[in-house]
Amino acid sequence: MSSGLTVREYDYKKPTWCPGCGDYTILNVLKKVFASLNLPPHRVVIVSGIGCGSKLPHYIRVNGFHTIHGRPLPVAMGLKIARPDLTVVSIGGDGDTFGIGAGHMVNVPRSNIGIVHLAQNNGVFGLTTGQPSPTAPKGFRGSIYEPFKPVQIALAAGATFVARTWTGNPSHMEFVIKEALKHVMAGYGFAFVDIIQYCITYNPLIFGEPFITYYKKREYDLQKDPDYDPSDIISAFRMAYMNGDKVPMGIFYRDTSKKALEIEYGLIDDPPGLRELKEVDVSEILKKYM
Amino acid sequence: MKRFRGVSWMIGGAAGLGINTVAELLSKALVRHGYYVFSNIEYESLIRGGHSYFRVRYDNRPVNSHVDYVDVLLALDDVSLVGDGGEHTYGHMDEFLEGSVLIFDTESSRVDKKVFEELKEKGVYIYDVPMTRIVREAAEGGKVNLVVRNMVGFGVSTYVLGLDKKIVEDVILERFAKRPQIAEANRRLHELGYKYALEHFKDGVRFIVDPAKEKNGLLVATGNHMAAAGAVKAGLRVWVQYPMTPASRIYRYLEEVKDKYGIFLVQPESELAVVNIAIGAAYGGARSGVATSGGGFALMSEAIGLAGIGEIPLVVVEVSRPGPSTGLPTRQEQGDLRQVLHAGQGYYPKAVILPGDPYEVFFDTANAFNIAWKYQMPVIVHYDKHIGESLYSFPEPDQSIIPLEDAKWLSEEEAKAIRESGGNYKRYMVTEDGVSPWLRLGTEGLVLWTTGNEHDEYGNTTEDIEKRVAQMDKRYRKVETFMKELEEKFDYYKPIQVFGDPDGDIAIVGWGSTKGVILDLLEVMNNDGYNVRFIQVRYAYPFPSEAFKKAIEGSKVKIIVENNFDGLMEGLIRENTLIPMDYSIRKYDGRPFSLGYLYDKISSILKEVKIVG
Repeated sequence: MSSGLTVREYDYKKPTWCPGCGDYTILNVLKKVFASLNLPPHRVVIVSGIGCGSKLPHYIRVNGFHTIHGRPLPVAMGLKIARPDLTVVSIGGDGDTFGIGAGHMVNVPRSNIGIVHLAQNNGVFGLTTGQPSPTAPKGFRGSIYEPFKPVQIALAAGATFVARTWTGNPSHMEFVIKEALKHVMAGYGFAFVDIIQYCITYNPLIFGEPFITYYKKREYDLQKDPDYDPSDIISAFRMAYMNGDKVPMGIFYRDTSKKALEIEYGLIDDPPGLRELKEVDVSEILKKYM
Repeated sequence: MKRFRGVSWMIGGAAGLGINTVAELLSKALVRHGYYVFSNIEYESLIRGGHSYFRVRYDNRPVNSHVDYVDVLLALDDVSLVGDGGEHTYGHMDEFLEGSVLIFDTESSRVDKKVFEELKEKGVYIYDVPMTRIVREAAEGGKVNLVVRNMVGFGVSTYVLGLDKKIVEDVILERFAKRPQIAEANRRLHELGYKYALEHFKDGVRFIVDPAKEKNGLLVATGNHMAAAGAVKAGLRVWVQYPMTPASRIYRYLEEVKDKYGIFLVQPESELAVVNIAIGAAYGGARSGVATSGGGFALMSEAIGLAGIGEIPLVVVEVSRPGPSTGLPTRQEQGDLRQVLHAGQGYYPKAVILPGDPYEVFFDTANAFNIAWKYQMPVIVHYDKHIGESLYSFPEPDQSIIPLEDAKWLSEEEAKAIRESGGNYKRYMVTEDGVSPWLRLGTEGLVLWTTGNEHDEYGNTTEDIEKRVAQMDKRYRKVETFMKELEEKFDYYKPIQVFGDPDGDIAIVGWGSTKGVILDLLEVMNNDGYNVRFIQVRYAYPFPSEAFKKAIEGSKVKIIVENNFDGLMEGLIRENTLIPMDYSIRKYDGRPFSLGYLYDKISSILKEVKIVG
């Protein structure tokens, strides 16, 4: 599809991420996806949390709201309620999404609000010098917890689109994020994408192997499996629990039978944030108390 | 016990016995007669059982507080009368005066007969009404719901208070209008109670007060009712709230009107979600608000700071109850002033408004939205359970005096100029008044960056020394601009109000819910020959220092009344004005000030001091 938009139109400041960081891939992929979906900068809002990856809005020329740790999801939800006409992407790290903001991760999807959430999942808190994140393996830098299970949780929470990709395969990531945005733009509701990445400084190896090698060997593209049916949630759970030699990537689950919140409740027909501010007569309310 | 003017009626019983319904209906009926009413509820944190009571005090002149005695007690259970040894209550027996009336169902009671003999000796009239039997007989063999005994007791009260039965019946029928059968059943039980009283206590004592000569068309409503109404008045679009006593009902009141006024309501997973959803909606241009109590507010603190530095309009209604932690969840305290004042880390511009009654809650909540949007900052409306859940009578607010003030939006021409220059929009442009013109999200060709990090004018994060200082100063200038507005429109916003004799020797200082009881006390003290002024502080931030100094100037005795342990307003006054109080009256037992309690406290202070003229 020729849209007339080029990735250059989304260029803004130079990132301050470490050289080799997977966040560069995510940034570039987002620009490509926005251009290919014909989404001009002023029609897109990226809402982020706090952490290396959450600085992303400052490096791309779309509307950006860099919030506080753990809260991109509810802020994005509120924004989408007010402006369902805009494309809203929420982005946060694994601490944002599965740690401090986990309460939102299991509840916002239930509302089926039409936003995409991208979880930058690298297993560590980079900005604070490498503490284990909720997705770190037990024992990693002293973690006493089993790792959080992003895909399983997203499925259980009722996300109508659940996918996983990784920063070592940009074209796959482009496919997945584009599909997630299409799901949202079609009015089917909440889309969740778990993006596996590494931290070049604090978590460069995966079980002793280099990140790229580890996942290249194990990457299992769900969309290349002709028998895989992403509309079946039981298969999705089964795939989500697969680990070890095969790491499934791609769209685990896609439910196109539900309406997004903003459509179900008619917000899209008359966005609250665009309504003209007019004098309101509350006599009817006051009279109730007479 | 000192008797004050008006009539004090009380209904007591276990939760679930329909205490609230009768008290609310009676309050409404009284106002329709032309009385002024003040009604307050005490209840426990449970759904069924325990002991709740609702006091209704009324007169043909304004009443704004409750008293500790009862003229008429409608006791729906034994515990309301004799207590249960203190597990839930000690009962209300000690609150009778000579000539008080007890409405009670002795045949379904286990109270020792001796108790009634004692009461009679004290001069209490006992109106023995077989409420249970009346309900059973009225059911005519059908299903019996004993809760409706409350309506029989209500009917007896209507008679004892000398009310117009028709007016009361209308109020009952309106309340249950959506369920005509229930409405009629309730009306009938009320009538049965009324008739029983007429037949059996024809020559008994009644409390008859002439209504005010002119029907005054008053409203009878709580602060929570008026917070909802005020928000709607201000063009509310999105309301987000997690249940927490005593703020919960605001959500319900908005639910009743959401369709008519186009309001979207969300009850999300936590107060963390609440405040952030509201921030997201406001960022998207929709007037949004939240309400909570102290615990929920604590969870919101970090995000309120985000609204502060991110310059996002946010209205928070904080209805306090006694803390710390869960504290006394259904009771009264003014213990959250410092919390709302200092929420979150660091400095950010804000306004903290302290309405003193439901009328002010309406006005202040509506204005909170105007202030929040005009200055792009959080505004906190803070009151307490006593205002939030007590029924006050007051004139219908004049809606025309409240303007609808919008944000300073970036104009089309300004947007065009930025587009043509090829540059980017400055979300945090440094301006003289501190307010940066706001770009509407989605404006062709322009984008905006918003952040909770320190930032430059474009909203890019920065750690630059000069930019940090420039942005801190710019944000504070919004407060200065607002302070100027408060001064210029002093009579409109009323950051300080003075009642009574503005030159009175005795200055009583209060804020929030103590307004009512202090107003009532003024009259009593005047009758006692004192010259008293009452200074009500209505803004905690920005603090109206000059106006306060002027209001208190020349007073000889300064007394502050606060419903908390540590004199929060007393400290705030001192830090802003260096003015010390001579006496502080503090109450932190989880209950509001009654008129008698405050009168006794002030009287004992005034016995100590000699005012030299």
